[in-house]
Amino acid sequence: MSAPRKTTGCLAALALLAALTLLPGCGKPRNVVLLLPDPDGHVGQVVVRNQGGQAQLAQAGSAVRVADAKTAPTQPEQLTPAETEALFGAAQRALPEKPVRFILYFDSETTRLTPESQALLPKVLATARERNSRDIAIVGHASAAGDENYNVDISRRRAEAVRKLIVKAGLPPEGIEVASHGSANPLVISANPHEPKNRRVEITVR
Amino acid sequence: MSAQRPLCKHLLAAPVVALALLGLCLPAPRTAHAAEASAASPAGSVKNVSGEAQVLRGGAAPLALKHGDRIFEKDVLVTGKGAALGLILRDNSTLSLGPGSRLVVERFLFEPEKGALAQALKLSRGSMAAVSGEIVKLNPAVAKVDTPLYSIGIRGTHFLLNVEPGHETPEEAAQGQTSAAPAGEASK
Repeated sequence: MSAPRKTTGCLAALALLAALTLLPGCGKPRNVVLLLPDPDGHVGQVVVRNQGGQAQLAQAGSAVRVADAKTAPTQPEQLTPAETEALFGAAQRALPEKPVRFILYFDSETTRLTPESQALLPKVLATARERNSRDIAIVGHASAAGDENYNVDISRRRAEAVRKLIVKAGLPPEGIEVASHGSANPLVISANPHEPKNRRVEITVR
Repeated sequence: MSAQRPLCKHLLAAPVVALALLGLCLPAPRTAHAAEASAASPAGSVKNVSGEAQVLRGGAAPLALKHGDRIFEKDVLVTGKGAALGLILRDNSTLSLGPGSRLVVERFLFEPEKGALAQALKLSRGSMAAVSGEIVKLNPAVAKVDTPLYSIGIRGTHFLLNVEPGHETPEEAAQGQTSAAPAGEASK
């Protein structure tokens, strides 16, 4: 136990440990999972598991480390700002902003926007330009009333009408995708099959 | 009608996009909505790139990624030294990779109208940030991220993970090491 050779080995190991402590994270495993609050402040939950066991993250700013595939994740801890930056700074800065969604409504049985929705278009265009968006989804939706084939058809024609409007206004057409979901994706669950809120076109600016 | 669908699906997928681009206003075929569910639907798109980020797709040569490029199921995304990549997926989840990362979009399915949802990613090395979207909201059980050392299940929403290099398979390790390209290969 006190053999000189072992002591030398221990000293070398200590020296290595000392060197590692100079790095953020202090020589602890750098395989890390970190939970942060959402943009709206809500805090979610993540479960980390491997052959060794599992750990749950439910508090904002808590993190676990994993040494290897057979060792259970450590107890949740708070990372120092320096280690958070070293591990995740670049990824965090590259995280895109959430897409923005707009909902447009139409005069009954037509592909003509209501005046309110017409007035919303400049905002759609401004958002797409601001975000320099190359990925815009325009999806038509119908209410549950009536024949589904008709619903799919009018939803598509409405979505297509919106696409034409925003392309005409100068948005690049190549990033725009048009789809129709008929009545399969209602915005609100309603006892009224004619629910006007469900007859809409959703624009997602990514 | 049901017998025609698979064929229509196949035949319509490309023309639907092409027609949209040309701004033609043909009456929409009744089976058109089937085309949107085709296997070739993108999983998402590239929102930002800094430095060198590439996609390895179906055995083809690595392709440099740029803003607006579509990402598909099975794509392998790699970032070089000092690089970063930001994506927005079809369920409006956002995710990003830090430098020296390798991420596989193992499975991605977002057809809420059919209840068809899946999001399985694999980070073999590097760092990733994510804010989950509709898939996790609708069914958290189908969303996970695997790594060589651990898997995570996601009940929402904003999380980050890191895996040090050296735990991937040798094949995975070789992918995307553009800054350490084999001798003789010119690196731009």
